[in-house]
Amino acid sequence: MRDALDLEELYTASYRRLVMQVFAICGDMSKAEDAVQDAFVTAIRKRRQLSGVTNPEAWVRTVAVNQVRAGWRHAVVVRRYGAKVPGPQAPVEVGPDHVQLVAALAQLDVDQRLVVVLHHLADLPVTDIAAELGVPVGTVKSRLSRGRSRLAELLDDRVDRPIRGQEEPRDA
Amino acid sequence: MPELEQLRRLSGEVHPPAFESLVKVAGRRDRRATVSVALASFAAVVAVVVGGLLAGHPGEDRPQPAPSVPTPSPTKPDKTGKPSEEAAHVSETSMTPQEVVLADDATLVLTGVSADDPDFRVSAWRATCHWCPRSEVGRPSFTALAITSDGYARTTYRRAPFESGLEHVESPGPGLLLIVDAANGYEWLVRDDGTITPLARDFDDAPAADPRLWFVCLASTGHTSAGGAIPQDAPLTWCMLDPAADAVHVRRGPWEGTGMATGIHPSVVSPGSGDLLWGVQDQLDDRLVAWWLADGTRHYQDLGPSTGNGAVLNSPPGTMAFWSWVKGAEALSVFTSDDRGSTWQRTDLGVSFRPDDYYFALAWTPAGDLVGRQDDAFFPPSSIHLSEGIRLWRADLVEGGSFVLVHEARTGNEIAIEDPAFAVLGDRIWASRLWSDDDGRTWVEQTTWR
Repeated sequence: MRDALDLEELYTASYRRLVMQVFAICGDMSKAEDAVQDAFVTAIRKRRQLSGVTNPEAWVRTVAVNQVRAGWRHAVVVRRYGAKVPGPQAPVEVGPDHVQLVAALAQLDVDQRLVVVLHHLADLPVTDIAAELGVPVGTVKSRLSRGRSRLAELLDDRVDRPIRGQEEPRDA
Repeated sequence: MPELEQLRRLSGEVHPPAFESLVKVAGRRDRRATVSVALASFAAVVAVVVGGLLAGHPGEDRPQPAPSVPTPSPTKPDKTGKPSEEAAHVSETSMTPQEVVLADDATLVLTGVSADDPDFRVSAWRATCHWCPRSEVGRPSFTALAITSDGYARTTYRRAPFESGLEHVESPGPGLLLIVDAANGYEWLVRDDGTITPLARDFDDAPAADPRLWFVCLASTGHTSAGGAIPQDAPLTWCMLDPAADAVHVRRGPWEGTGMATGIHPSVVSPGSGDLLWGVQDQLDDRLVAWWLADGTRHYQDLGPSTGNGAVLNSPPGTMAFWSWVKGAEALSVFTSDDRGSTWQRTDLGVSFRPDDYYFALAWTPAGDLVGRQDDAFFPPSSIHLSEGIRLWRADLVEGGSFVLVHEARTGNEIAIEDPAFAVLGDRIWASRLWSDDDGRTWVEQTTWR
């Protein structure tokens, strides 16, 4: 059960951060948990193929993100799985700041949101994001730049604007 | 961006479920895929499943439909026209089975046709009740069956007694259609008089003269009227339908699979055949390993590296046959043995697609060629579990040959992966709702389901 053991280690190590990344993309914690759990179920079923994947965590994230990106277009599909994932085990205390942040992220174009989350929350360099999304590096940089600018505007709007010259420097 | 750090900190409050619980879910989903392959080897089966119903409630008793013989209704002649919006509804809070089936926006979720009489069909439809009061989760939806014995000139409408979404239909003999939920261990018998009968289960050994009565099932009776939850870890095995007793006899022993621990899939050959038992052992390390039973002992043969593999269905008695494909290869290999594993023959056939364990099945045609079914050609972008159509391929088993696309079906109705991939009765081959009478060279789709 070598691969199953590896998958369990991957699950233990990455479940929480993957949920948070997917939550940042979809804005719904329980959907994020369902999607990540479902992605791990797929990983277990596809463990042979997954064993040849260089970055299994990215593979799981892609499966989970694809599901939430589609907005569960096939809600019936989820039901017809029959064997459903356990779902959230305990409610996560999402505070007002989290809600505002996720609401701001939700106003980004979904492609921009993806690269912002992958870069700033999953800590992926642009080259890895390009590989994961299957788009050129230049496209990632462009989306990242525009997404960050837009997000900064949105976040600035939610609080009193700082006095000119006293803004915290933002990474470019 | 520092703002995103607060989300990172929030991750500490997330509580992952036990990994084992996800393994069990994966196992139950695998059951469907396994069943689709194992069932298809039963060379007298017709079954089509095209969609999903609500998730099941394993520990609950299912509704018991009345056994009285219903009277079929003339099917509405204008099936494409919109139903009369002015018509009064029988109930303001529910839908009759007929209203469900004939609803404009009803979704076809399951179909089955008799191999003995293609005019005997059953279909399941799901529709949202647009006039019912809206609840917190929206308007309710209902599932109903449309049963016909004359190609839907007349139809019997019944409320669906099942709800797991994992059902498929088999054709065990004249006048009978068998609805099987192999993931949860339920069966219902549909007769051509329009009745639906839930079947009892037991572990009694009963001799079966007709091999068509055998089907792959869940080796469990824990859910029956005695109560109790479905054993999550029950293996798949072979069952025998006993129509006279409205019962299913569950057969244990060497035919049954052993679950995820050892990866033994159920025997490709049913107990009714009296033939050599053989099958596939699921591997974690990309190998194809065949197993067969001889002298009461399970034997194994490692047939080499393999990214995707499976049994070749509809194999003649005494012949073991497997297909195998290695990622990146331009050929699929077929391994056969006619001497109980003493020697193996390998034939490589060109493929222009990627055969996958779960979504590709291969079967012998009546004339001894090969027909392949690819279920992952039209996956919706949001799902890797469903197909919106299938591709059918054909090849002669000659070295240097290759698979040629012979049919592509994409009708908009989703096709579930638990469909038995192929079924052969006489010279007719079925693949879900498609059939071929010329050894798999051309295919016709049955499109009338209400």
